[in-house]
Amino acid sequence: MTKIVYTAHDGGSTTVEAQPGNSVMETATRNGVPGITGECGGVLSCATCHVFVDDEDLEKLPPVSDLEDEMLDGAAVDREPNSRLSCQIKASEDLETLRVRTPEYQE
Amino acid sequence: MTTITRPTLDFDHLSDHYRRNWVRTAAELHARPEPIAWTEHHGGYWVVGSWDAVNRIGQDWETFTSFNDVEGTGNGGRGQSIPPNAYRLDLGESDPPLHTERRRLEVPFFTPKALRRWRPVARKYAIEALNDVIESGTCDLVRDVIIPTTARTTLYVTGYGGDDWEDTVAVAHRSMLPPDHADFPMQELGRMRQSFRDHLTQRRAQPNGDLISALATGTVQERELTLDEGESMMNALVFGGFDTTTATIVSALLLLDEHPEHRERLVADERFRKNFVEEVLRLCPPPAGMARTAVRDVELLGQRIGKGESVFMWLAAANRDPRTFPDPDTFDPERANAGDHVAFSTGHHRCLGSPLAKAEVADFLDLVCRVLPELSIDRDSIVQEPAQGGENGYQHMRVTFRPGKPLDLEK
Repeated sequence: MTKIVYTAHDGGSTTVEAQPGNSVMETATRNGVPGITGECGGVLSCATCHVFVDDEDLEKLPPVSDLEDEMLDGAAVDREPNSRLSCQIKASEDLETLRVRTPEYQE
Repeated sequence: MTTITRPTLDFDHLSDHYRRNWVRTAAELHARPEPIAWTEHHGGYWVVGSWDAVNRIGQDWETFTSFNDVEGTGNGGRGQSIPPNAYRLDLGESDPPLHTERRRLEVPFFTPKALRRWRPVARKYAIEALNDVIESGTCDLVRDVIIPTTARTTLYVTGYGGDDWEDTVAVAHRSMLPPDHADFPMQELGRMRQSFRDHLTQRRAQPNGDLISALATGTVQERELTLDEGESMMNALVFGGFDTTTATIVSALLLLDEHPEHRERLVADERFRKNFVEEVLRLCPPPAGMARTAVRDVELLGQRIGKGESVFMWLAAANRDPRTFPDPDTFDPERANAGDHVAFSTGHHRCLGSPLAKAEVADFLDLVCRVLPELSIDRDSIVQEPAQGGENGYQHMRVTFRPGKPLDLEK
């Protein structure tokens, strides 16, 4: 289980326990967490699951693929160095906690 | 548990019977213990109406291939259409990892940021078309306004240029006929495909940042995209976008006509408008479904799908699966999970133009509600496409409205 803390643009936060293998995007959309759209369902085609990962957690994550990197350029809110697409981040036994901030809008 | 005899259904998604009766057929399939059946049409194929199973098929490309093995030297897949396309759609009818690399060339043109470039263009085309008819108080809304808007937008987005959109539309409509049909536009289609190749060759020499240039200069699997691949991908982009968007706009206007109580909120509330469009897509998806071929024996909804058998992901029925969408035949623009529909398919081949299509539909509805007061649809004038590939399409729909002054493009 991974404890994911989603903090919205306005500061409100939601914490969800994610099953190993489930992505940060699908954990949000299945649990009604606002701020993540996930239009394409996780096939790196829409850039609507953009999140900013807490700097301390960033190094725990696998690297950004070339396609994810290209898609981040097209996100509605400009990317920052800690930007990720949350469909590409999976909960796992090794990842105890993860803190992400959602952008003001995704589309 | 595996059953011994296959449940069967007299089903042909290309037939007129399908188009007249598909809602009832979907309800009957969903009333069975599992919404899966075998039909003998077109050499035989499985029909799957379960929303869960359709998602599983769409996502499990290693079991259910999209590849169209035209040459007969690959995995035997028969592509995304039943019966198979003789012309392989190299993007739609391929699997990862090659599919992912090809698609990667196109996706940057459909991101949220890219949409900010396209939406004002679509609005401009809509206003130009409306201005030609707005003072008369009557028009064929499909032919005069919707098709010019969606066709020119699609061509603009690809970089193909919007000038010869009328030829493109004519070819698009007739190219969905069976290839042996007298009206199949064999020569015109040949000319268009040659034109795609000419554009690709020109952009390879002088890239200008548009989508054609991305294909012309793009690499997949550490090689240049071939001219054949580029032509096939152009073909899908140019012909994939506008009939489907046109159909969704018409479906939306018809549903709004039946539910005028939503009109005020549709204009005032953007969030509601977006969900309204999702619910239109759920109930009236442009395609009936998409096909896959099983590359191994697999169990699905209690049935054994044999290696080499075709499976039809009946998207229109999955959108009315009562296990996912309670009271599925009711139009409810406030439905919380309306956006879970599979009108754009699901998995790796989900329509990459879907964000643009939805924005075009929402923006067009907003515009029409604002500038065409007292809109009245003449339902007797509606002409649908002939049964073509199970595609929900429209050619004509006459309307009347209170005449107005031409709109200012700058406002």
